[in-house]
Amino acid sequence: MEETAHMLTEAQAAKAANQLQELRTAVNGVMLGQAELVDMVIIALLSRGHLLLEGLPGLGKTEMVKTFSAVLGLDTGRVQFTPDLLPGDITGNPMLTEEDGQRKFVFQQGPVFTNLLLADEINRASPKTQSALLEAMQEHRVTVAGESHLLPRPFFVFATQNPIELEGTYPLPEAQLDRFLFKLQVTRVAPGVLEQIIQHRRPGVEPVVAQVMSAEALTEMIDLAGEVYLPDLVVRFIARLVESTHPGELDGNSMVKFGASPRAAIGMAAAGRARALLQGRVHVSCEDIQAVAPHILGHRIVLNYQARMEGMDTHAFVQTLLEQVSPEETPLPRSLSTAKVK
Amino acid sequence: MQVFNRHEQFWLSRARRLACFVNTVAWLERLVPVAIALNVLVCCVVLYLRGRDLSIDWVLWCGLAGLCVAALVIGILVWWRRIPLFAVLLRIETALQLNNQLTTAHEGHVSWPPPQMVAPHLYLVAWRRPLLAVLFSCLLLPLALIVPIGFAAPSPLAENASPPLALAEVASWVEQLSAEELVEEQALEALSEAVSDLQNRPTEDWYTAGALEAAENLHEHAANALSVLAHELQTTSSLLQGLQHLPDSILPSQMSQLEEIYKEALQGLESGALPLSAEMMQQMKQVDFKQLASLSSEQIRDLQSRCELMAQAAQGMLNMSDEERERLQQYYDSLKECEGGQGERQQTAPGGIQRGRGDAEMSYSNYRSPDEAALTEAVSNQDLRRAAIADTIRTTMSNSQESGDAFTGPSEGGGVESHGSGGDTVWIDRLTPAERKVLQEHFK
Repeated sequence: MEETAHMLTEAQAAKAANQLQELRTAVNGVMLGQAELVDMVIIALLSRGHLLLEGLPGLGKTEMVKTFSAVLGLDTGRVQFTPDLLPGDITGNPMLTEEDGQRKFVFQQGPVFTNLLLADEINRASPKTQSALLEAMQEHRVTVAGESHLLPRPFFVFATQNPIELEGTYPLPEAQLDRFLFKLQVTRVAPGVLEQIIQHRRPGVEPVVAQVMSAEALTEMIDLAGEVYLPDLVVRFIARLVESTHPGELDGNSMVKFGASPRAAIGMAAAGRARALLQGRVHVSCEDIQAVAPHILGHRIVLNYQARMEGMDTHAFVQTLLEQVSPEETPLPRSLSTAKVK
Repeated sequence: MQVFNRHEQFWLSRARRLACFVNTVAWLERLVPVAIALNVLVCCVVLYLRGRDLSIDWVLWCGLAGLCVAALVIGILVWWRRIPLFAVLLRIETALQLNNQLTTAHEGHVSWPPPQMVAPHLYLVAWRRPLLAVLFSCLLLPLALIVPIGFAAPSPLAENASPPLALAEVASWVEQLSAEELVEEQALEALSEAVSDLQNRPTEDWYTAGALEAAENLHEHAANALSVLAHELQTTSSLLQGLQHLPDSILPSQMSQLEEIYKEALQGLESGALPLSAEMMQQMKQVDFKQLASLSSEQIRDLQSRCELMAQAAQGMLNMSDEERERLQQYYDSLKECEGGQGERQQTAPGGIQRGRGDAEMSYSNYRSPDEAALTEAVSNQDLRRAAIADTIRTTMSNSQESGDAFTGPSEGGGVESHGSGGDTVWIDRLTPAERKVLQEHFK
């Protein structure tokens, strides 16, 4: 009953969907041909999630972050990760200053103190530096010299990494990967879209993007997303889906070494809520979960050596999983079990 | 609000209809093996009854009643054990891509969507396999009804059958022997058991060739045993009668000969297939020819009369005519005469006195040789019709096994024709050419 009191109404959902549609249109105006990617980024924002964008250079990863920063009016910081980058270069350092004749250490905030942090080529920094982001991403605070400093709200990390040129890189550890809600693949656009990009973009000229939503409005949207109703059916579906990622739970997942964590299940529920709000619904559906699951589970599942040798990737594995795990829980008679929905 | 209620009713009615359908399929699927088993059972019962030429109407009525009961049970179960309405709603909303709106509305969190046309076949049923199985099993019933079958009418012989005469006669002997207490109990029980074994067989089997042969054998065996018993008793009785009128001038050697005959008769009574009862045997063994004075003439007469009565009883059982009795006497005498090889009696055993112990060839023997199981030594010389060829024909190897090169022994005049070639055989026959060459080279 308590949950019903805070439930989102259909009118609120419709209004939020309209606002989000404006945001979507604005970003799609810059990020041509990346509508699905844009939707997933919006869902990540509404879920308070962090993003790991993976793709070849020049596909618009950084541009995406800058565009969202512009349309949302968020404070943005950018860190280019290199092997000699130190944790303090991200979190900030205590600086010795003299004031009124007294010397004392004053904390100098690093680039992490922003609303939207772009961690470019995150896999080029050493694990020590990468781990500096752990506390910031999970708890939205930074502890330096025994003193904790809260980060501004909202706080998002949009990290990018290059799937090629892996020499001299440090693959993100599992603990770090688990803190990213989504890992999105930035792919090439269709040839027709590419022609539009050639016509409208000039080198060195940044596209003009109008702000369509404030940081406060975004925070309000995030709160609204939290009020989207999550049916028990969907909760059970998420649980079964996450459980089935573990070895031995299903017939086909003998190639899994480690499955997804409860954090993935929480993220899935949050992403499902965000997607429902984006579509103007007041409840989450199983389709929402099926839509976001590949991006949430893909980077959290570790396949074993045999699977890697056979060339299987986590994306294909998750697709198989989604085919095997059905929202329908009641076992049907054998004569009906092969029935497919037309 | 009424509009929403109408929407709810629409979706719920569709869901209930689908749930009933799914339940029906589920229970029909479970009842398929039962139906097949029922059909096969009914077919078996029909075939059995037709084989016995009994009425099968009640089976068909029972089958029909079973089908009605099954239909009723299915109906109840379909109504009672419906799959959750929730699951059916989920199937409908998935098919119509309603984003779980029906299930959420069923929980009361959103409004019911407006009615849409629901696809008629949201569940595809694989009817073929179960239906084919049931149909095939149903086809068995008409087959069982029309397949030609010859019923086995009860044999008139089996109803009022009486055991073969030979067996009945032996059974009556057993009863009489038991009443007379003539023979030893153990032997009588064995005979009785053999009779019971044959009598306890099904009446249809009484007159089979094997049963008749067995009964005949048993009859022959028992008759022989009885006749031997009667004969020995008669012999004993005669001896005892003779003892009563024994002249005083009898020689000791004649006395001992009489005693020998008496003992032999006793031995025959004791060791026969139907030995005399132990009590009677004990009394007869007490007769001592050397101390006849110890027995009164009354006692001997009493013993003799009992022997005589028993012999008559045994002969009475056999119910033999004089001719048969004479033939039996001849048979008995021939047995005694053919016990060759011993030479104890008046006739010398065939084969001469130098032949040694043991039976002569082709003569009667009470024992079968364990060494030559295939040979039937009990074949008499008079009747060779049933003898196998190997029993009557013998072949011997006329050629010598010795080699022509073998040492033939010394010749006349002290010279020898052959020095033997034992060592050469090894050289010539046992070695390969290569080995022989090596050895020859070595001993050069």
